[in-house]
Amino acid sequence: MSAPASAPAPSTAVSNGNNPNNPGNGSNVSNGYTTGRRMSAGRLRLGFLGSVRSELTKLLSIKSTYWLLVIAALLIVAGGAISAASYKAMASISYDPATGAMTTLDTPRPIEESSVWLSTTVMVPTAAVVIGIFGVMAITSEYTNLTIQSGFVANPRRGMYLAAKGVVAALMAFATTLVGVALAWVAARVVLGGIEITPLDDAYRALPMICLLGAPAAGMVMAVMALGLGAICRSTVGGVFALIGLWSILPSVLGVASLNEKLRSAVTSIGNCLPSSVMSAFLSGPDAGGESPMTAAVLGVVSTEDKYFDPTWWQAGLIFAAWAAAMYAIGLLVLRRADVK
Amino acid sequence: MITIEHISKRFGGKPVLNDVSFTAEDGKVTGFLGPNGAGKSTTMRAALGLIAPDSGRALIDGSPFRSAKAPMAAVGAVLDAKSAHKGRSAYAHLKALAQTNGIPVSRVDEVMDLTGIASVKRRRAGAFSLGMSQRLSIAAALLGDPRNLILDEPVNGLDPEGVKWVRELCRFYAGQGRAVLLSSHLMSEVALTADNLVIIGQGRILETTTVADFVAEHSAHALRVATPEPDRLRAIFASAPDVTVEPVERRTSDPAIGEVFRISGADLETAARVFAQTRLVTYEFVEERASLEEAYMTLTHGEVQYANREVPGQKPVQYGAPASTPAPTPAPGPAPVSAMPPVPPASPARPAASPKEVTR
Repeated sequence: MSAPASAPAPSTAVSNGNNPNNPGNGSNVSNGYTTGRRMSAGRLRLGFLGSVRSELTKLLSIKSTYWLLVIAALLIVAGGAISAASYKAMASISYDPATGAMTTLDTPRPIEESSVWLSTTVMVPTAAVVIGIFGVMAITSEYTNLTIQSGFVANPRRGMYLAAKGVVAALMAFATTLVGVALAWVAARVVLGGIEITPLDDAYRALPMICLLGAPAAGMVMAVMALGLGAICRSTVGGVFALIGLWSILPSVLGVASLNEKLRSAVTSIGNCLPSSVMSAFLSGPDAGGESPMTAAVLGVVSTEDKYFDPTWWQAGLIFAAWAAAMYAIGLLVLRRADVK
Repeated sequence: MITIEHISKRFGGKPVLNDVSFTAEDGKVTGFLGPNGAGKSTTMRAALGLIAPDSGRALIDGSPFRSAKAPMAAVGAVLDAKSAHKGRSAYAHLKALAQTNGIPVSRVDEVMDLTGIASVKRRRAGAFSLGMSQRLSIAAALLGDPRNLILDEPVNGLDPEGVKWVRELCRFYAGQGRAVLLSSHLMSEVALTADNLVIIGQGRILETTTVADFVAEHSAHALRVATPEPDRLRAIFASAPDVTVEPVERRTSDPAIGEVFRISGADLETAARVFAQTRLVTYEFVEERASLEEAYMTLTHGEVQYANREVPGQKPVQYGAPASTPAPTPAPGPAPVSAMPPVPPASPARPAASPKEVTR
């Protein structure tokens, strides 16, 4: 066996025995192949904080993170600008019910502040799909690149592993949505520059809070739900398909089924509890109209004869959180039991 | 120390591991050998908690891996060469791993220097060649300065200098009192590196021994003699009961003249003296040892998972009897591992035995 003082590594970068990082340590003949007190067993420890830092490093070091989150934020901003433009257009038109004539006004009518706020979150459900893809990829990229192996060898406690991922994905989704909403507000005000904006109605008091806190919270919950779906499917295509299936495909199927008179009540109730519906219901705030987006979309009228479950604003929020919790729990179960071949 | 206790595992009804038990001791390099598909990787993954065995358990330093306080300081593992995110830089990959266990980030630079990939620190791992990816995996294993090393075919894709480096690394760490479990399907490399040997085939442990014992047990000493006087040769050994003289096929390393025989059961020194005394002319006089490769293949041939069809024009390899018989007769294969200079012809009155033949 060659003496430890030699440099077995082919690289000439390792020149001599002294470890520049720890000049105080006397025994440096091994030039890095062994470490002294600096890294003794007592000082190294697997911890949740370390895992969170590690996940942050991982997510910030791949391009797809930046692409997805920037696109999500830009979608929200675009939604704010476009929605504000349509409010401006509507405010410039006067409709006379008697004659049916539409005339363009010289000065637009005042626009309510609530409309500005509503504009900021108009595209959040769409951006949430992008955030969902980000959440799915946070875990499925580990499987497709086989880094799940080194991940589990460094951290064999799979619950902690997924929790650290969840925390980082949630925080990044929250930050992205917050930035998006804030910039959307600015964009909306810019588009509406020059038009008088009436102050916030008492009825819409909670709207700014919902937009600035509720929407990011919804984005956060979306990311966690997507993470759960990714952990269940363990492949990017599978996870994204499950996400889109739950978000768009299933509501369409139920929408078609609700045309059936007998099933309408049950199907509509279920449809109102799907993630996309509850997120929209949550974001529209406490004073939104009584009908669910789904019914309005399909039937066009509010059906008062059938009884179906239409969650209120805070109920919708809770149901959305419950979806994320359920998907996360199932994902954790699958993660724990799966063999990494 | 890595202890595997009675691990069994089935994948979808097919048994992959069947009551596998062995120990990789501290201070020794344990070579884990077996044909492709024998269950080496599965056993190692079971030791690391990646695969949950149906029965049995694996312990690292006496407790399951999951309960280790600092897993990266307990075990350093090299499993798959290409196991870094293709879009991530090597530095970020190692840094992320280091941060989980609270390893200082300076260690990342150190480990990259050790493995020789410091120059490609910021390059995407997807742009790495196989050798560089293997070095990256080894770097990740060394991050925590682990007490145990589990290496699953670590020399795949490395150049000869890299192979030598891994060998020295294993010996160094074993010399430090750490346990090294090294799996390979190359007998020659394992023979140079390992102290203990565990041979697995189709999910069952075939043999647990030390390299020295395996070599001693499976190297049959035989003398290979080329002579123009076969009858005299036979007559010499006719009276010795446990010596067998049998003709064998000529190899390219044998001289073109004379007949080639293999004599088993005879001692080299005695045979040389007898040949000298009886003035037997020999064109070749070599001591042969069955190569380790042949001994290993003999042991595992029956347990090979993926048996290929013989290449046309190639004689099928005949495998001798398994290890227990004292003198297996391997078929013509690779050249003898060790060769002794032949005894010079006895009689000076035979100038036909030219110096050229003597030095064969």
